Amino acid sequence: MKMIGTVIVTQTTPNPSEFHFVITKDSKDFQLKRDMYIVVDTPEEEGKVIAQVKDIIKTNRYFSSPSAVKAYETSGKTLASIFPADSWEYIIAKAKALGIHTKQGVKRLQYPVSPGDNVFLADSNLLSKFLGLDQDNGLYIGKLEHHDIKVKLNLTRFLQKHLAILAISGAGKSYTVSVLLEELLNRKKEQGRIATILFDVHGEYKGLKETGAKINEQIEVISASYIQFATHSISAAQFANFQPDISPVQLRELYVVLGRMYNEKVKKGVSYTISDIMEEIENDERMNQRTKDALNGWLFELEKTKLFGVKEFPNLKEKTKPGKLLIIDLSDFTSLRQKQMIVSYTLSRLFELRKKSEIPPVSVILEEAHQFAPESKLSLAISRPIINTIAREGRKFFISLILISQRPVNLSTTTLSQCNTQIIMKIMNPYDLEFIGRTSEGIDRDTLNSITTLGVGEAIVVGNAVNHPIYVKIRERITKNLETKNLEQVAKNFDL
Amino acid sequence: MSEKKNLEQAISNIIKVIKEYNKHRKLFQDLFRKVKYQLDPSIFPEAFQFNTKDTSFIIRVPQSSTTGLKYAGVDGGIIHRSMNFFDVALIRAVGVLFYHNKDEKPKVKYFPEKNPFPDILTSVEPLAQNEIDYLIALWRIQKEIRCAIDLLENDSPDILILDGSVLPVIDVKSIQGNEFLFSQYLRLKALYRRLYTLSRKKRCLLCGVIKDSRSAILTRKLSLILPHLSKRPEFKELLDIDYRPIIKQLRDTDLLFNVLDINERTFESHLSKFNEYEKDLEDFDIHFFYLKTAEYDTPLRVEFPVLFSDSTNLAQTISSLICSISTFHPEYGLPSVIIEADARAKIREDDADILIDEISSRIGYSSFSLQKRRARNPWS
Repeated sequence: MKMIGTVIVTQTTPNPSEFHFVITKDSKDFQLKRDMYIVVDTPEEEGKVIAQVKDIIKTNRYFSSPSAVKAYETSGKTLASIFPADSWEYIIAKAKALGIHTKQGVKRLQYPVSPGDNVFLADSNLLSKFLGLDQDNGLYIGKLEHHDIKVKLNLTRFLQKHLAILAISGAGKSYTVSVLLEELLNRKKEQGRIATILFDVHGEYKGLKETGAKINEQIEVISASYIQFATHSISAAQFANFQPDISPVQLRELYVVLGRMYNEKVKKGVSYTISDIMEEIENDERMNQRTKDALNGWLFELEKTKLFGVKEFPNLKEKTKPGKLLIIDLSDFTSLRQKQMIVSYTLSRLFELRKKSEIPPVSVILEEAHQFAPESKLSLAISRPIINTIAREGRKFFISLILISQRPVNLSTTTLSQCNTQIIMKIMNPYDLEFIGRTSEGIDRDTLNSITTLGVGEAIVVGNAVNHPIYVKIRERITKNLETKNLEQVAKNFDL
Repeated sequence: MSEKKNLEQAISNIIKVIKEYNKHRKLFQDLFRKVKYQLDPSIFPEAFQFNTKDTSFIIRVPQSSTTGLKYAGVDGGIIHRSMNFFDVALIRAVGVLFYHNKDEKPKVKYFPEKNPFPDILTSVEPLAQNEIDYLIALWRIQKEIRCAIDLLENDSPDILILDGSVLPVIDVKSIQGNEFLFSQYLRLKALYRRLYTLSRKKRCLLCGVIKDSRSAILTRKLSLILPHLSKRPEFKELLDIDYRPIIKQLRDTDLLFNVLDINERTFESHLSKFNEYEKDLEDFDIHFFYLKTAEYDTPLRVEFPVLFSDSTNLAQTISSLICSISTFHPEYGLPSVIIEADARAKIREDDADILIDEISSRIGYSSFSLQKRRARNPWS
């Protein structure tokens, strides 16, 4: 390890949480940067203290008195031309102690490092272990900022629970998702592969299929206009979810009708449509006419969406395969309600199939997640209940959500708080930042403040996937074909 | 109430004395300022016991450039602790050498190095407090002179500036009874002799700058010529007062603060007599002048041994060089090399504490018990 400094004493440090050190390494050989990881070798203790640089202060006695600087420089000469001022420059860094890395694992630091202890630049191997990276089988999403270390996230820690990717538009969310997809699709069988379903709201991922890369064969794109729900697989409660104004009496009657149809048709292998349900209701002599009319009115409205049919398309059981990506292109749809219905149906089906272990472990990527799990009233949030259900219970059945949003403040608190890992990219809106601070457990004030300063392609990974929040420069994508058009180009093309 | 009254009275008295002193000081400052270029000290050789080459009381210093100049400064730092059984001092001296090439930042060399580890000197001699003070002073000056010698042996500056006198300024009478202290003094004298010889050999201008000098050597000499000056119209006011007790109060720098302007010096004078213990240095002729390097700072007292017989005007050359490296700050007119050397040589109080703690832990005492009783006062 490269020694870079020595721990010094200030009025309040070193203490178990933080310490200061002076850089002893020549600045020509080495430049300390904020958020770098450092190591203090404590001879009397059983391990190495890992810390992160939180602040860097330069001092110089010749420039410490404003009046002296002004007085000398008024003479017409600079202080640097009178004195060897540069030789008095010292760099003092403030570091936050993250923990002590021992043979038994990472422990919380309960005593301070000692003044005079040597400070080293963290060694890749040690840091990788300390941060909980999986260099053998992890998903390679980028490089650790300021360190030549690949950020490879362990699949289980990363995606057994849920993930949120949060950033303003243009910060690199889609790029990051593409990188993630490449990693998931490139996994070998022996590494453990999962299935991936992506709801592509703007149709920007369908280009992945056309990149000419090897992973093409593992990708299937289905336009939402072809989607059909298997009506017989939809429960009364789900219908009520699609039509939230349905009354309890109507729901009870629908439940009875669907139960009868299940026994008479589904059990015999016969499917049915919404028209069949409407007919069954109409023929029900026991049901009140007003209830019949209301129920059929609701069902007629659903039928108009043309989403309900005899057979499910795509067949989710067949299309959900290990190492495969199914992209559901919602860009043809303008109706948010219909998009929410598709998401709701698909997630309900996937959850049901996973519970029965009829499909492999699956991750569902939801672009513009705030549209599908908004913190608004239920009639505007058809897909929220199933998203919340999966967010709460999906971990047990190995179905995980990857929620992508540029307005986290509009996202359901329940959903976001269940996202144990977050990839946070540049965010400027103070309400969004405050919301992230409240819903994200692993993020401290310093890290939160740094979110506004992130550049394009830079991210903070926080939560279950890593032992400490890390800054990552997202790696370059292998699939290059996801072109983003600029306004000027589109305007020129239109005007041709 | 009476206590408050007494305090008021005491403060009033102090203010009265200060005001009186300032009034007298201003009187003399104004008088000498009026005649500073006309007053010719060379016509009073007996008063000054010296045939000065300068023909006016105050001389303007010519401007000189630092381009191509190699100039050096030496300063020392010391921390002293008096413990129950022994005295310990941390002493170090640093020499710095600047070389300027046009207006570029100075190229710097340090002697012996940039941050030398301090010498740790201890004494278990049963010395009285004033003797301890002399011993520490002797050690410090020895260290500085050794550092200056080291610098000259390893490089060839055009001018070498010491922080302090170019003579071993020790009250020899107070230490002559103590064999140990006197031997240290003799050693110091030998070091000075070696420094002078080496400076002469290297053709290096050697000088010492004394900041905040409390000397009254010049005012005492001026008091001798005042009877002659009182005949001049400018000094007419003096006839109305008894000026002799007043001028006895004045230190040289107090008088000169408003007499000298920036880049001006007093006429070249010499240190009147060596004491009987310094006779063996007498072959080195030590001269001095006061030099104003900052508008709102007291003049520097500059001493230098006249080492080169062929030199035409050493005082003018030295003052010009010192001004070129000192006149950057209106309130702080020290040579840049001395500022840098002082900063490098300074020893922090903490360093002495660490040393004492280490010593006490190794001998099994608490550092508290090693301290003298007055330092152990739990309420101070």
